[in-house]
Amino acid sequence: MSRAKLTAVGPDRLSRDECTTLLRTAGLGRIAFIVDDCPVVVPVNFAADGDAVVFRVERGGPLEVAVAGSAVAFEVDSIDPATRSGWSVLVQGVAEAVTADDEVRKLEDLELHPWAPGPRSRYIRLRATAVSGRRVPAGQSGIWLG
Amino acid sequence: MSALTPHVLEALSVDECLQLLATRSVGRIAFAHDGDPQIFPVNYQLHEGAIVFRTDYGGLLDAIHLSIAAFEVDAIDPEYRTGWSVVVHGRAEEVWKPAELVPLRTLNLRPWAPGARDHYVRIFPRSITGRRIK
Repeated sequence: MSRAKLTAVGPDRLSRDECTTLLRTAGLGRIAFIVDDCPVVVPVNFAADGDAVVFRVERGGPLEVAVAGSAVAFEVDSIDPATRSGWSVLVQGVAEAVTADDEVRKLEDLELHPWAPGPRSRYIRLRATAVSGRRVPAGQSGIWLG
Repeated sequence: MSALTPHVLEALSVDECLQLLATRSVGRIAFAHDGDPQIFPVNYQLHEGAIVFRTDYGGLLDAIHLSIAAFEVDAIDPEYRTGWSVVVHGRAEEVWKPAELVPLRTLNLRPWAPGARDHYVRIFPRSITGRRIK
């Protein structure tokens, strides 16, 4: 089966610059990844580093094991449920655990403090291989493609 | 509680998760597409314990019909960093039987432009998990 294209087209589509600007305005996103053919979604607070997304997990914990080196889709949106208008941005790439001291020190400058409790000393970086986004016009119903 | 207060995560019961799902109308659906994860926002309604939404895009329907989906809804206050998230796992399926479509058409899932062909998709939960952060 040919690969269906799952990105928005037309005037509602956001440029990459618009997407990276919106990424910096949001604090909470959701990561999606596949474990044993099953999709998993976890909300995370994050920081944008250029068009990379950075979040923190427990060092050596299940989330690091699941995402480090794996394909990850990251979604952030701001949609008013009353009018169903707003925007959504999707970042896709391969997540990597950041372990080099000099890189960790740079990421510490992002002032990224996990909202969820527990030790979360491992920085995970998702470098974007694809960034897409769209405006959600008021009143539409259905899936809003990134 | 302030953002500096140590937070705790607590697991929610299935009943609590269903009650919370009924209070929202925008969630995110994640699924594997050619092995890669995809996640998109969608407006939904809870109907007889299932997540129901619409789509008019055939490529998307092909990608999710009969796939195992994760459906996530959250409400987290960025200032106080408290809130909840719920994740439903189950098989997504297009609803096509006319008798089953009748009640779905009464849900608050506003239609697309007149004449648009769209489709109803349902996820019956196989598992429901939720967490509250406070």
